[in-house]
Amino acid sequence: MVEFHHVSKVYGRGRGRPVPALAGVTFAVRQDEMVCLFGPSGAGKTTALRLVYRQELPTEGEVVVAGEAVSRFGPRAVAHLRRRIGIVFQDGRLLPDRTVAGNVAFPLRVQGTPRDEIGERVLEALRSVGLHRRPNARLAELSAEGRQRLALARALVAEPPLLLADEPTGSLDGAAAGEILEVLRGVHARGATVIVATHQRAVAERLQCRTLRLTGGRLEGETARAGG
Amino acid sequence: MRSAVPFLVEATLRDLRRSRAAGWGAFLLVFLAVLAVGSALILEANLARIVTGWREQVRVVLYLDAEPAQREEWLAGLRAIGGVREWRWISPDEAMEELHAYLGGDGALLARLPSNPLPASVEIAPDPVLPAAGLRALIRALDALPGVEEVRGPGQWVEWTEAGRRVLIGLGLGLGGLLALVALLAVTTASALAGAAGREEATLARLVGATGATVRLPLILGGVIHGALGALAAVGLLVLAEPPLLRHLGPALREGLGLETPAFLGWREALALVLGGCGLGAFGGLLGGRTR
Repeated sequence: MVEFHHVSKVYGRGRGRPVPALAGVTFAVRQDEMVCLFGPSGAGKTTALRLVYRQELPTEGEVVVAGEAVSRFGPRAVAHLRRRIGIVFQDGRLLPDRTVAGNVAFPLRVQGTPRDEIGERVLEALRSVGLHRRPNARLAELSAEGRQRLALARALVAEPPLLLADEPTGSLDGAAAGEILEVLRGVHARGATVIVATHQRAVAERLQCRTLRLTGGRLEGETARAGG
Repeated sequence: MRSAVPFLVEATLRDLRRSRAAGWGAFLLVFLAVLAVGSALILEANLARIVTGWREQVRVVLYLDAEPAQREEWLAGLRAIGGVREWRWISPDEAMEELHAYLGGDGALLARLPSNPLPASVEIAPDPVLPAAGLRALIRALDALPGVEEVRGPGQWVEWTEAGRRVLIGLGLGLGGLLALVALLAVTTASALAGAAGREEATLARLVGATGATVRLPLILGGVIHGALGALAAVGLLVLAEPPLLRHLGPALREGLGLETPAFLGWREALALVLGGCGLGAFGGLLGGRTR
């Protein structure tokens, strides 16, 4: 589903001091697999995810998604690629002037989904993260956990075959984080490919998935199952 | 069926709300620009009618030193000259009769003359839409005809009215153009502000699969709405102003300038002005939306 072939990424080339984020990283994530990208802050996890949804282009190497090298995509193909990927952003990227349901519906509206279909799918996504009782709540009324659930619901609403979650549990405490991770496991169980970037070892362990350890932009190791 | 239209409509309305104050400014300036251009068009149409009315009265008279021996040939030469709407041959006898009629009771004096001293002449009505330069060229060509002793044409007023008309139209269109430029700047600013205010949403839209066109189109549509509303308001005002203006100025225009039926905006001009406003708005939206 996702392949990195000797991928390097250097930020700020030609403008000041270049900052390397990834250096010669090679790995593959099979379809229907769940993988954790684990590493400390600045390890290159977010960059790796951004390369998958073509927010960034690799400086060297090739990123392949569903058999196609994304760096060769034109603008339309990039838009089409992103419609097949659900993303939980590290910073949430929630829209403060919209309700819970409005935030979740946003990708469907962008993608031109018919109105009657949107209602059903939004409710389904909210139900999957336990927010279905508060569709009309404003963003300000939600706790940090609620916002994290909302971000996850928005990533799931289009039922994407690939889900990228960047620090999906953020700063949540154990119980709240556990519920989010359960949702991710449920998504994987329903057949989606899931890539989770996290700096928390506990997250990788609780997800019980293959873990790729990144340090300083390099792939330092891999475990078949976290904690295993 | 999938359609981006609901998203575009919603995003356009959001962008319009985001730049409400600047949007009002854009609307007002488009309104003023279209009002100035529309007024200039009305002024031009009416000046054209007034000047054409005056020019229809213009006559050029050719005085001949002798009647041409081959009159038909001579007339063929006259007809070959462009810009002659109609002509009338005046024989010496007809000229004398006209003089008699003109002098009235004093005409008896003419009977004492031993012979008719008046030459034959040709009275020519030039084409009224002929520009001043064309009229001068026509007079030169008539003067070059064989047997013509003198050509009497209109005075300098033809040039003056033409120059005056050009100045007035130039001022009107110049003012309209200047206002249109300012309006373009205002629409661009409104679009840029809306673009900046909605940047977060636009970025998210791109990340969930919107194309660049889908993200920028609401700003262009917003510009079109500003332009269309401003132009429609201006055209509406010009159309509504027609009856009261005719009522108050009609008699003065008729008596003072000979303008029987003043011209106002036709539907073609009105449509062109509204489309112009839309085009200006779309261009402003396109320029302002480049930041998104």
